[in-house]
Amino acid sequence: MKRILLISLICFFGLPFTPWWMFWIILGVGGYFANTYRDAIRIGITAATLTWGIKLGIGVFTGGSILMQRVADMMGLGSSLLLILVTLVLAVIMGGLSAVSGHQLKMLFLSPNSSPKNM
Amino acid sequence: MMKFRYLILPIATTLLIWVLNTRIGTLPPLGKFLDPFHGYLALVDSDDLKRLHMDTPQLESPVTVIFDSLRIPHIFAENDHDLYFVQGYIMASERLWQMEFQTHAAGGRMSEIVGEKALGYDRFQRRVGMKFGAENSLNAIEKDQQLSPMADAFTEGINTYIASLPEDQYPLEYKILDYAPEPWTPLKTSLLLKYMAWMLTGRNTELTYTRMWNEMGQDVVEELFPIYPWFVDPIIPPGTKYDFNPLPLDQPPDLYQSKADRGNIITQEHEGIGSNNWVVTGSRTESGNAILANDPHLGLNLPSIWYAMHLVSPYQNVMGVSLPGAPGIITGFNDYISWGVTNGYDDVMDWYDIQFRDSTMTEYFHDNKWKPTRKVVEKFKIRGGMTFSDTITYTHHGPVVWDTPYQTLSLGEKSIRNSIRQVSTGRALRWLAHDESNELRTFYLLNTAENYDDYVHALEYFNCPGQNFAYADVEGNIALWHAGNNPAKWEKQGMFISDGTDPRYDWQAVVPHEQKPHIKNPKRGYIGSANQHPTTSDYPYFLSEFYWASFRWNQIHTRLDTLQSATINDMLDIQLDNRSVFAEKTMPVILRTWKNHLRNDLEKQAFTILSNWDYEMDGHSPAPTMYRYWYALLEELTWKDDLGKDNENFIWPYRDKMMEFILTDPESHWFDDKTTSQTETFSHLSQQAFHIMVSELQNKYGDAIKSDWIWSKYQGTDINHIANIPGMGVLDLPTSGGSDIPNATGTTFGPSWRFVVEMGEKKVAYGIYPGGQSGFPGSIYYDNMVDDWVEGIAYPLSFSDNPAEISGVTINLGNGK
Repeated sequence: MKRILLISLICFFGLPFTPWWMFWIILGVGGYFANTYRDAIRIGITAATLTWGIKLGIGVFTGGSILMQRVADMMGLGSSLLLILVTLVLAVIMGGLSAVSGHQLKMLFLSPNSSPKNM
Repeated sequence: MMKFRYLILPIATTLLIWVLNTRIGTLPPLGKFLDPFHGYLALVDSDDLKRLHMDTPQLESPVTVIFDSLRIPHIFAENDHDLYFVQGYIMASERLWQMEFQTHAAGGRMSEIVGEKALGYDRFQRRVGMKFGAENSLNAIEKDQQLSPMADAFTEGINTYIASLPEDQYPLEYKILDYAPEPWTPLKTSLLLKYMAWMLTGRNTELTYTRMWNEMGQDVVEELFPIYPWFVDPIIPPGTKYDFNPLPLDQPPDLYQSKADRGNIITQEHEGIGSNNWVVTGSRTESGNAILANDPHLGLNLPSIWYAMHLVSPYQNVMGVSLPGAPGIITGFNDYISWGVTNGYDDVMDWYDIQFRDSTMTEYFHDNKWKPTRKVVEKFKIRGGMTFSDTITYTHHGPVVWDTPYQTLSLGEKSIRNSIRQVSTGRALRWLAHDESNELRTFYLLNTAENYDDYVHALEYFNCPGQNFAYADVEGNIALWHAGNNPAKWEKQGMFISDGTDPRYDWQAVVPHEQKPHIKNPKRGYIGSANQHPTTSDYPYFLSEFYWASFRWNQIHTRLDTLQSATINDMLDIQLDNRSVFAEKTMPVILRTWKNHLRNDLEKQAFTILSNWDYEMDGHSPAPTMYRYWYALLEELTWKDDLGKDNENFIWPYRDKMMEFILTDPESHWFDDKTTSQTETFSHLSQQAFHIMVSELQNKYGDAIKSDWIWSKYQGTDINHIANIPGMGVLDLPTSGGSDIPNATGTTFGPSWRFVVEMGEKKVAYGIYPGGQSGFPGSIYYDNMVDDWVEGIAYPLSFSDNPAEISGVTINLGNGK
């Protein structure tokens, strides 16, 4: 959990200064250093949800509700809650995929005989 | 080899990230856009005024900007350079995307944003000469030693703001459409003014009139579309003497008859852009001060076409609305004078048949000589595609807009803009907006004017399109000039397609400034315009074959006539006047045709409601719905058998012509349905339309006439986003009023700025527009004025050259050199 919090903190404060896709690379790195696929998935999903979720929450409570409603209308979602949900689903999918991808790369670089553990 | 299976997911994830970083169809790049750190949510604080900060050495002195409770910026500068610099900076901070989008649209550069689907639109913009005209006008601005530095300062201000924006802070629409702002240039300002000129140039009817002449005879055109209709209440009161010698013009003995059908036809919808303005002299006001009122009617969009501002320097103290992208104030008031504009509707756009020597179109015949054409290659950058080149042929008349049929289909539709359709080929367009002109000078001189002479002098520079500038000053003078460098035309010149080989059809001269229609301090104590005829037929120049019917002005005129001690509230009330003069004059006759032919209870109920109607186009009343629905059916029954569908082969005559037939010739042959053996009159068609109206409205809205057939539900007003982005507009507004009504609302147009000012020593001014000062859709100031606009409320405008008298959020910019 400490590792997840650390990754989330780094992302939360570092992401404003990087391109948007850097988040997924960081989560990929997180997945690379995870011991198991399960760990990688947990890191990816939790860190992505926490980081984006907190930022979304701040957005809502600092005057973003009008904007979110308009964007929700533009996307045909109708409600800003649905927009938040869609955003978080995207975070979950991308976070999970990035971290597992990182872990897959680790497998690639390991010896030919090694195999994934604890799937 | 097996281990490479571990690459599949990383590659798929990378591809997914790429997809989420790419705009697909109309969708923004979803990953980038939804990312709360860099996407739309990064803009949450972007309308916070405290973000505005400038220590630029380009400002010579510190500038104070106070944003009042309406978010109107009051800019206090110590010189004009700083004033325009900060005006550009502030305007960009609120409306950057709109400013750039409009100029991209005007300059035919939409393909750069949305790809190939906009190529037809872009080609039309270039081929019609928008860029050509803008470049010519830029020459005039650059030659103007006083204005050029101001235009440059304004440009620098905009660019300072753009340079200050990190990518995350690009306005929302840039994120949706996935592109970046580019540096502003004075050419963009010039393009913006051409964009307005295009919007206001008015109707273009010579092709449809020519076709009608060819198929039915010139007398039919003159009967159905008379230059001076039966019901005219002109701007310059009848009886006014035009005491000057008009310029001699070389007129051909017989009017050239073109063969119109070399392609499709160019037509426009009936409903259109109009405006009201009027001024009342002090002897007719309660305070003794002159009052000016103005409400330009335009297409309504968000962000609004207008941006309210107050500009103060040692050389000016002026307030009103500006056009985002142009320096100065377009309509407003200063310490001494006030002015307001309505569209003049002069015909400043003529089409010429061109006789080319051969298909290369390198030479054309004019004045008994073969003359060389000029070829201009326009390049179009297409997003995600190859650059497209288009060669445009220019004659001395102007560009040949179409070389081949359907050359510039727009956005996959036959309609291009403002309902102008594909024009027949091989014809050149002469448009006044192509000429070198310096409208910015007019507005600068008006902004700094101190008296009537300054106002008249300012209007000398106004070129296109002709506008009615109403005027009131602190000395109690009122005036109105029908300004614009209109060509001096002989009778009916440009009413039909012209002969491009004959120099007598060229624009031979410009109407001298002092000979333009104008009036000052008339005996009746008020002046006004509502896009109607500027003069009676006594005026020696031919200005246009079309002006809007006098219904709006007639009602305003009637109201003003009754006021002996007018107040600002009276003026605001007249702006909201919903009375239909057409209905008032025709309903008694119409009701008589229905009275003995009521078939059922619903028809009886409808008849009773319309019999008791006060002719007010009130949003809560069902009567306007029934009346307008009936009228549309009457038009169809009257004209379709003779002229076909409206705007297809021909346009249908206007409401004032129908009123003339109803009141003076109800047995006109035009009412006879040619498809039947019997002879119909107005009475027959009126009854038929009534039965259909009741039946169709019942099918549409049910039996509850009083609650479900109400006008605001039937017409209503939509204010769409300027790029039609869903969710960014305000729809189904329950408005009252309508076309040909002083409160001229429509489904997508209406009073774009209601403004009244009393010109006492202390100015008392009210204004409102349907939108908000901020262009950011996430701001409460994006559409905060819309509901009050619907309700008819106007806000008091704070005006003083002393910053201490303006309350609001103060921003200090620059530290001086």
